[in-house]
Amino acid sequence: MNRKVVVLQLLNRVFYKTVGTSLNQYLGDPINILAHFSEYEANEILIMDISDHGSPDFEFLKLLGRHCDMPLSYVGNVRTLTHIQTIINLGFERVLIGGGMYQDPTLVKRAVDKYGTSTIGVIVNYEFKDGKRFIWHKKNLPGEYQLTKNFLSRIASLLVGEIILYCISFDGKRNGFDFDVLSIIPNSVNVNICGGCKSIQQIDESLKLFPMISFSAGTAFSLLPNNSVFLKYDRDLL
Amino acid sequence: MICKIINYQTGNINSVISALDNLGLKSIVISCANDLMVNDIVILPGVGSFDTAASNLRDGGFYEYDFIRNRNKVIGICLGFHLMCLDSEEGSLSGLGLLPVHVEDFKGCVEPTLHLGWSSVSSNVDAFRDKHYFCHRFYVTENDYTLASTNRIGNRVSNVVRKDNFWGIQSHPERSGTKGLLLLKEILQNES
Repeated sequence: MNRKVVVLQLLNRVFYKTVGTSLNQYLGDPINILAHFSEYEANEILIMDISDHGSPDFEFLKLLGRHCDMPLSYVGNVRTLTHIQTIINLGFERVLIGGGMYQDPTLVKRAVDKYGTSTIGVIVNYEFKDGKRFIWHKKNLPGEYQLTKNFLSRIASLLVGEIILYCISFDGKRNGFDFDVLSIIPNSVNVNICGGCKSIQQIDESLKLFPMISFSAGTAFSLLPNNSVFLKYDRDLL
Repeated sequence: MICKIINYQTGNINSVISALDNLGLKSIVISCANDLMVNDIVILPGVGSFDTAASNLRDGGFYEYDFIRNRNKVIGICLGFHLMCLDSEEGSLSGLGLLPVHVEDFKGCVEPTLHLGWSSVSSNVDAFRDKHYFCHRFYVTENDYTLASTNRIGNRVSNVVRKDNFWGIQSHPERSGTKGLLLLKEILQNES
């Protein structure tokens, strides 16, 4: 059951496209962009809030929730169950927990218990160092943690609905997905690969090659090779 | 036509309001059964876990409310649908019992256990067909009350279930674009 997911990075109420940890291109007004992808009937839209507010911008999320009639997920600054509940009430079907799980290791389990497998997912950001994958967190983790099958299996055992594996080192570079990471994923959970997408064609080919995996992209759906903004989506494949 | 959306704390109320707006319908959010009246159209949104939602519904007095005597049309979406059933393998509390079916778990049948994404739906009703967005781990198997269904790795999953004035929808019509709105409109306009 795979999907091609549009990732839109939100910074202070504006959508940008990043390359790794740097801002690359201003995409434009979020309401307008959401309306476009809604019209294109995108399989799913993931709002990835990279603002540093400490908590989600609920007032703005309410606006986004009202302007989209396609599946909508959210990740960013989710720290408490109250955050999750508010985001769901604002119209998001799924909430993904990222950095919050490192700050509070009980958060994911408590969230799944209260809101269910179908609502809660996890995003694991990782980077390459010396050819090995390490978990990445913007606030820096105490020590270095390698991304392993054991780590992902532990997350899956909490009955999360989906794990998004987001390769920061590949993000926005259009060199292709990190397919090798598929060798360490557990079978019991939906997995979504994000970071490095070359083109929409690569997503379509990847979906055929890995029918149980979903693929996400930002650049491929929003920028031309010369970096000018051009929103596009073709849902016909699925 | 005004729809009353039950707020059981964990539902995606805002997107249901938007969908009804798009259909030109007004809606009111309620948290208490005292706010329901005879012939009201009631919507139970999806998203959340069974016991948390059932417990909040109980606190709101909805388990004591007589939907049949008050001739309410009740439409449950995803978890809201499950709450209308007898019980669910997701939790230990009982459902409202408006639909005489049980909710089962994909666990042990298929992996991954979460049915997440767009699936084709088959039905004799035109408005119920096409691809719809699903996001659920628990499901109602095809039964005598099923009007539309989808296939998930060998499991026949009910997508639209109806008994009298009570309707359950497994997919998320509020997030399935124009096809979802068509499905919702058909159910809302259906005269029992």
